[in-house]
Amino acid sequence: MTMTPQFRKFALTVHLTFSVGWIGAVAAYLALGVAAMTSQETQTVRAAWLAMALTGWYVIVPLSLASLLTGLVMSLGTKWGLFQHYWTLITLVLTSFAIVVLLLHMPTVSFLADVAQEANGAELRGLGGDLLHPALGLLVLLVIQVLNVYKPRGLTRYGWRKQNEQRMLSPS
Amino acid sequence: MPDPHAYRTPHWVKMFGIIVLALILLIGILMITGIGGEHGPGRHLRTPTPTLEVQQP
Repeated sequence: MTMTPQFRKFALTVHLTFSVGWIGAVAAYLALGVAAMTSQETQTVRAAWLAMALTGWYVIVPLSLASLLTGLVMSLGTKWGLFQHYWTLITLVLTSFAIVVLLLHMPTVSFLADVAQEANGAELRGLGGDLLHPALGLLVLLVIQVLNVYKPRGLTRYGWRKQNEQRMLSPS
Repeated sequence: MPDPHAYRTPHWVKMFGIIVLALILLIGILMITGIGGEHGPGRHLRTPTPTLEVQQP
């Protein structure tokens, strides 16, 4: 299954928009996490936790799922395939891992946003921020970005076998 | 002499695998030993002991 050049360009634009948007949204979430951790203002801490829950559920989660979906379309609709090249395989594994961690972490963020809504000054400051998950998430997303831009050479064992089969089938 | 047609895993994939394994090991050790602290909402809810509020007459 190969896409027409026009559709490929359209699909690539959509995929890039979702993927880069995901990175930007995580960077914004990280800024909120830092604000929640460092601010002495109770209003700021409370607002940061509420914004983190909203950004997480309504921006980061949809963008991550859309990025995975469009990435699958891109790899299956182009010569790269999903399991034939290491860079596509590693991208798939890292993206899936990031989404699983995100979906497991978001209920905690919602819970803490609820706590922040009711908590007083001392309790609010005790909540701290959320740095580890977004910082590691951002690192994983940047690794994926680098892999997708540079597309380092390297066939998987499956891709190598498939290429050999095609070479033998094609008339020389 | 190695067979030039034999399959070989690219060098960068091996390096990448080693780094990922090292990170997984590091995170595992931090979690098992407890150096990294508690994981989950409890980590955030370690609030300072509530102070006794004295009501002014």
